[in-house]
Amino acid sequence: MTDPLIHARQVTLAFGETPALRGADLAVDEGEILAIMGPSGSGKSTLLHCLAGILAPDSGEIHFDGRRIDHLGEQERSTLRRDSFGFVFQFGQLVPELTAEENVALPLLLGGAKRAAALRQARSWFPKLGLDGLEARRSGELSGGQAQRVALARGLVAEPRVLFADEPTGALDSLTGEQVMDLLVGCAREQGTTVVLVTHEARIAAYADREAIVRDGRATSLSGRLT
Amino acid sequence: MIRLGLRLAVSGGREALVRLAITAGAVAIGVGLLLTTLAAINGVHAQNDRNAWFNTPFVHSVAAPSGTSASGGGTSASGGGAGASGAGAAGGAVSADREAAGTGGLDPMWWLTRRDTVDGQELGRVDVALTGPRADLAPGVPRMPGPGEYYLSPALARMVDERPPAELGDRFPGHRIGILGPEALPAPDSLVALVGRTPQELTAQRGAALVDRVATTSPDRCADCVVGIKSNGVDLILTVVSGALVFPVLILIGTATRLNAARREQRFAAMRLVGATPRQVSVVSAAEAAVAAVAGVAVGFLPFLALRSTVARARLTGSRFFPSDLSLTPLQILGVAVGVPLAAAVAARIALRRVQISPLGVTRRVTPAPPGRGGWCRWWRGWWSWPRS
Repeated sequence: MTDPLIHARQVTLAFGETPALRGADLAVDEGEILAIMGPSGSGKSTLLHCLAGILAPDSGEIHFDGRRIDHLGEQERSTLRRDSFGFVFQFGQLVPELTAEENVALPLLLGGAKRAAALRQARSWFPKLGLDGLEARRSGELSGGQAQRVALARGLVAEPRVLFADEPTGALDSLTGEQVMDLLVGCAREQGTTVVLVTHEARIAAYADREAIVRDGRATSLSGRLT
Repeated sequence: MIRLGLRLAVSGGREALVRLAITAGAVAIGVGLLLTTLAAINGVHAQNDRNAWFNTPFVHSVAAPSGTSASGGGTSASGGGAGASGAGAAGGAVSADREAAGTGGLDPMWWLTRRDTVDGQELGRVDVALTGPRADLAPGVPRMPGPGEYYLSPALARMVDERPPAELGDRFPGHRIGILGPEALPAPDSLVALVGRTPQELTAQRGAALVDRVATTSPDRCADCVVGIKSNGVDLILTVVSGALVFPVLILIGTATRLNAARREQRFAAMRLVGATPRQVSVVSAAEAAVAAVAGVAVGFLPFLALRSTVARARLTGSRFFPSDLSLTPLQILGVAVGVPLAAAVAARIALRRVQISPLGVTRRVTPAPPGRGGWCRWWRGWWSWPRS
């Protein structure tokens, strides 16, 4: 068995007096699509944030590609997110002042790419995601589904190793949500990108190769390995 | 990152433009007040410098040749609206810094500066008597007046022309040979006369002094000067007033900046999510602030130009200003043009240090409050009870 791409061991995190994670263990293999499910407040989003280097756990270890990342500094975690991870969150998290193509190009620009090259690379994603003609629109001029597809393009444009998706269809109607998931899974498989998907909908979790359940801050795998 | 910040500030859509306009407007008001204050300070100094020549007998008197004398000092003099008076120079008395007659090849002249009044308004009068053809030249005249000749300031000339001679014009013996130029006047409406006399007439006058040249040193930098003001006090007052004026503008700028704080924080959080480092966010924020400040500085010259004529009419020193005196030096313009955007950028960076922008949003950094009275008491008790060996 190969080493997992992401490996979390005994991760704990509390917000003040409230524990969110109480020794969560999780392993994610390269190229797989893992759905993390659980009831509201169970800690599934917090676990994703810790795996993605957004939050630093209080204790435990998180390894990415063999490298321990839970104790990295702010700067290193930013670089890790920019170079190795992509994100699609429930509300898109687009920069409202930028056009759709600039939003998609943002990770490349932050990485130091030339503006023209970054925009060219960003534009190449628009036909793939059915966003032709929307390049110059701002987020306020996009529908929820369009904004989420722009966020998806932004999450994948730098060809990340892992795409973290936190309730990516949570703000969409079921039809649009399925379209977004079809595109997300299709693009990820095409690029060989690992996907960690947080959802509370079984319908969305069905797109994954494997599911893990988080309850009371601890993870349980329904299929395949947990650690 | 700077380019991205400029892009966000300038072409971020209508909302971004409105935000930019509000912030730039607030900065423009502040810059307008700042420039006006600087110009007023310059105006005070320029006005003071125009008083310099009235101090001639107090700073450039020389020993009178034997056989001539002017009766002793103690007279008061005035600078045509500058509102200062003091002890005159004693005839024949030579202070350590006063130079010998004939310095620079100039012929000495007898000089008397004194104060008069017209309808309660101050009138500065200078009587001069030349002892040779190579006398120094007073400011604002093409040549020094000979006996029986005089120059008047424009305001005084109007008054003389409008009144019967016995009321005012007879105070000036002889005939008017011209109008004093602005260089000789502390203010546009100053009442000043430069009257030519014979040496015999002046030597008999109390307070007259033999001088070798016309004073040009600003009263600010002259210990012996009695006409003019010490402008440090006025500078201080103007600085305090401008501070009081600028304070509400700073609040306005702060409010304008916070108008879209939520949107701004949302944007920074989104940038952090996709990998922007705190430093990159800080640079973007500083660039945005600098853009608004640059626009504000550019527009800020308009309120300054609009306020200039109003300030020129204000009698901050008791006299009006020449509008040309309310000008700015290139260094001041450069300082404001560069300093304000720079200060805005630095302020934006400092403001960001007070918040923690994470990919999930913004949280305020909490600085522990300094210990209150109770806290200090507890600290003191703790320290006192510490075991001493």
